[in-house]
Amino acid sequence: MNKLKRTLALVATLAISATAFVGCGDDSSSSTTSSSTPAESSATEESTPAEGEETAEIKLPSGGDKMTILAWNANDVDPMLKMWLPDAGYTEDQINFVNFNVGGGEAAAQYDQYFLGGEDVDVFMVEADWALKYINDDAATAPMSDLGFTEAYFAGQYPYTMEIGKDSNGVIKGVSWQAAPGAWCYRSDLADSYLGVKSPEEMQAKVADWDKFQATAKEVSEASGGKTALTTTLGGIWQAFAANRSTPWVQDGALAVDDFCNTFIDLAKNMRDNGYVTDLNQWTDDWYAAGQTDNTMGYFVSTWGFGDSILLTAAGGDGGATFGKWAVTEGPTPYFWGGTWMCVSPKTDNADMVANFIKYFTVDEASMEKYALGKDGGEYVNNMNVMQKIVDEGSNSNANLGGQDQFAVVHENAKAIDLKGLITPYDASIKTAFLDAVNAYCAGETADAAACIEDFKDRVAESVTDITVE
Amino acid sequence: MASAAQRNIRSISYAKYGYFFILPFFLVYCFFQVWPLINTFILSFYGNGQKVEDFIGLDNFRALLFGTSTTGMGRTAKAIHETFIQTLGNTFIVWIGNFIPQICLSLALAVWFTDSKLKIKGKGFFKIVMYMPNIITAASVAALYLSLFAESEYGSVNNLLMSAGIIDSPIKFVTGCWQSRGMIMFIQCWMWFGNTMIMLMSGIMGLNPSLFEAANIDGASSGQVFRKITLPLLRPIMLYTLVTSMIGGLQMYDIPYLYKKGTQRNEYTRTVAVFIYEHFREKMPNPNYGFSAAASVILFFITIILGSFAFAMNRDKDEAMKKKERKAYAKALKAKQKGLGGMEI
Amino acid sequence: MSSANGAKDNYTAKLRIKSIILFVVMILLTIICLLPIYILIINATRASADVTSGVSLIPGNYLAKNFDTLFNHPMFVNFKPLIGFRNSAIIAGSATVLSVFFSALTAYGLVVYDFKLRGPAYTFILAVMMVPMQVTSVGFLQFMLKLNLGDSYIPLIVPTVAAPAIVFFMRQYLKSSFPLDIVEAARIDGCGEFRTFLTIAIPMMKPAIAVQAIFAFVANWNNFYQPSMILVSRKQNQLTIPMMVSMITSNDKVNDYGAKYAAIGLSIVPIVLVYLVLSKFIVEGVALGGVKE
Repeated sequence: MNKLKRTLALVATLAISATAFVGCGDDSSSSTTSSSTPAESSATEESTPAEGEETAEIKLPSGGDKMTILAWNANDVDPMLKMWLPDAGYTEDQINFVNFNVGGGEAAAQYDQYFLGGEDVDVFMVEADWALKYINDDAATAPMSDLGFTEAYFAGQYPYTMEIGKDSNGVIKGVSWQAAPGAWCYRSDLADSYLGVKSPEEMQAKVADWDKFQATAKEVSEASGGKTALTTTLGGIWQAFAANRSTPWVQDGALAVDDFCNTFIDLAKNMRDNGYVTDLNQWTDDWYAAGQTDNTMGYFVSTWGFGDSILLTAAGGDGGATFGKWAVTEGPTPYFWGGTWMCVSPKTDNADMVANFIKYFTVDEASMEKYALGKDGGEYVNNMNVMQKIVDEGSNSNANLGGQDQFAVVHENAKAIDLKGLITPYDASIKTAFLDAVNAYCAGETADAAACIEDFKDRVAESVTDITVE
Repeated sequence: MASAAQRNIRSISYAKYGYFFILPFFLVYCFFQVWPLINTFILSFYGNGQKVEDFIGLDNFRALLFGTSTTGMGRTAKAIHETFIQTLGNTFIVWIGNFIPQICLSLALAVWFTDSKLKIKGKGFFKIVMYMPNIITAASVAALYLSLFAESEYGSVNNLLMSAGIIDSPIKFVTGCWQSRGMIMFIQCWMWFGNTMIMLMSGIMGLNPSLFEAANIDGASSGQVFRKITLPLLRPIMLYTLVTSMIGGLQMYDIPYLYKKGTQRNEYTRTVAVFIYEHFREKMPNPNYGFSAAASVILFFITIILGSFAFAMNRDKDEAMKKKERKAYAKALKAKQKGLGGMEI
Repeated sequence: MSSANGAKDNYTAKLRIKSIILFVVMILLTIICLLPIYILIINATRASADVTSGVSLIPGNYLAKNFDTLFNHPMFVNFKPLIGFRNSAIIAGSATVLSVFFSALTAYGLVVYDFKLRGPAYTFILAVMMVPMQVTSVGFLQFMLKLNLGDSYIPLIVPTVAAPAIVFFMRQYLKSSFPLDIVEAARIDGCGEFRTFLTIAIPMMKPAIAVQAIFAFVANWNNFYQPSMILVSRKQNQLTIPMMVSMITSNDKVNDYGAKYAAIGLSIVPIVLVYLVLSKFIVEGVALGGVKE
């Protein structure tokens, strides 16, 4: 009981203390704090009249032993906890971080296993690809309103991230602290010698849509004598291209195969047959190694991919063979790639702590800015105002990109991403199946585009048994 | 004292000790494993995806084996049938391709290492080294081979072959049909031949050395000794090797599962066990428990049928040998009854 | 006399040639066995970018740096090899002792005693040996969690008492090389059944025990699937070494290949060392157990 009171008190004073901590703790951001206050108040005005009320709105129980967080790696949770715990006045003892240490794709299987055991769980992270598996399941996720958050609280978030966090009835059940808009990175030295392109703006003009992208690929191929591919993987192209879809993959419980598929098949075939894209796959050693040769000119990269995850490794690390020779531009289409959402278990027994945690990373602009700048390597936080401010201030520059600010480039893309309500829980499986089928077609395993579509349907029919495939 | 004990032997039945000795095994097995096993059988009669609560009878089996269904699986039945049959084929191909070279190599090595006439320098060293690959976790082995045999010209092996001018374009070690199967056969063989060799060696060493001595005195050649003495006597251990390797082969999982290009697993090396695992845990948003369990049940029966076949082939001669043994034993018993203390240890 | 000598010389000459050829074969096999392991260890001494760009047989000078990354970089915060070794040793050690001892016991019971259910019991053991483990695992986990044994080593250790494949091996071994008269003789000497097993059968089964002990230890040491299933809460001080390695190798956001190989290398070095230290004993143990009459 005492503990409960204490935590309640802590929550009540949180917003004040958080800003206070930012103000006095961090020199680099002290100036930004003061300037951020007006922006913050305008964005979250209606939601912040009284901090005390907010805790009263929490419908889920508090006072549990420890706040349990599930995730599949520590890359985000560790830095988050490091910053949040002291600011919120909690200690590490109050946290039980269950780290499954698997690839994002395998995490759901681990969660299912964990949930099976009925062990304590308060917050768990989900990936965009399979977020809906849990968000549509009321036994697994609680509405954010149960923690006292209305949609207005998240007004600053990028719209697409909100869409993914809603279940089929439009109830918000997952929120993200990061946005993952994608962009296209290219070797500026090769662009100069093959295309005479001097700046990202010029480059953007040459890859502004998919037709131009292919034409430029042809140009690069011819200029390099067939040596250099414009981009590295079909997987990367698909990541961006898939965002163009104008109808959902599943309509009335059936797989929708339309011209969109044929367009991509033709594009992929053209790119691959002519060597405009290499035959490498993402997440292989070769994929990274290619970046240090002249065999490829570009990578599709998302906000989280500018560091070790993709681009820095592809450049050979700090001081590597192609380090600093890269540049970034929006690419043919706005798209997002990956990102992590937070969901709250309806069985949570630490609702106050969880609410505090979520507020800190998804609502409170001051702390979000602190995290964006404070995290090692920076974070593209999920708040348009905060990111706008960071971009405006121009405080970010990336040495691997020759000093370019990747945030400034993806920033516009991020706002433009429009999911048009198209997402279905089956998208991850369907998109993977389609890419596999197209890869098989390009490798000559299926005869023509029609056979490729048949192959695709078979793959979907086999793995997604909940929908009809004609 | 001896005579009292003797009397006891005849009056006491020792059968109950048999039950005592095997009791712990059965207690533990029944406690931990029986329910999971039954659970698998139950699941195989239920639906897939969200329909996991629906009883659908034999439809999973129908779909997997014949591509048909009575509960409207439609295209799914056909697609899953094709994949399942392909994974079965892959399993057999990869197993045979690694089992035959592996058993030949292991047997040859075991015989050479146990042949006291052969003076191979550093025998002890070689024996030790050859088991080493088996010590390393499959995950590390797969990661290592994937980086050595990466498909592009940056892959170490491709790089080497290309710069030596042996090949012009990189070999598709990971996605090519026979290339990838060949690689998996090789990796499996590489990992397991030392294990098989040691097993066979222990079998050979357990044989009565006087037989070999006698054969040597009679001037038998190594080949003769191998064919006439080692091989027939090694039969029980060979049977063990055959059966366990068959089970291991049919349920081959880790290397085929891990040996993939990035996130894309190639369909030529997908084994039944990988298929089972994928449908069980990796399908989004809902796993296909029914297919997965039904495939396990089918795999279980295939294993049993092939296993019984191996046993049956072995039994004929086993039985004949047992008969002889029994006769000899009866004779010895009679002899003992006549003259006490005729036993030597 | 002289012709006999000639034949013998001829025979030994043949043997010598055969030995030399075999020696060459062995050298080749040794290279095939060791080269990948060697490369793995060399990679642990190289910088990440060098590792991805090609193979090398010469050690680099990044070992210290890779270890530094491994132990100090926040990304590898869960990699605590000493704790991992301890946990793996506890699990693998107990599992080995239990599985080998009880399998020997069961096999002995099946071979030595003639009882009504012997046939069915043996058939049952062979049948359960053929059950694919992938799918029974979910039922197993559910059951263990119901018994409140999640996050416990018990489900990883105790079930190894029932190891059908080891029983099968032991039985085959006893069949081919254990003279039943010995038991009879022991009885005449007034030796109890269990004592006969302990003092006579076990020493005679030494080769089989040695072999299965190595195999069981290695299999349990490398077991990733089951611990990662049972240890649901991933408590830091409970993780096994394969779990720690896999969280580095399967995390797609860790791209320091030098550090990755250093972790893999570090995970295999102790078991290789233990194996090398014990190998003399193991190899001899395999050799010594031959049935002497």
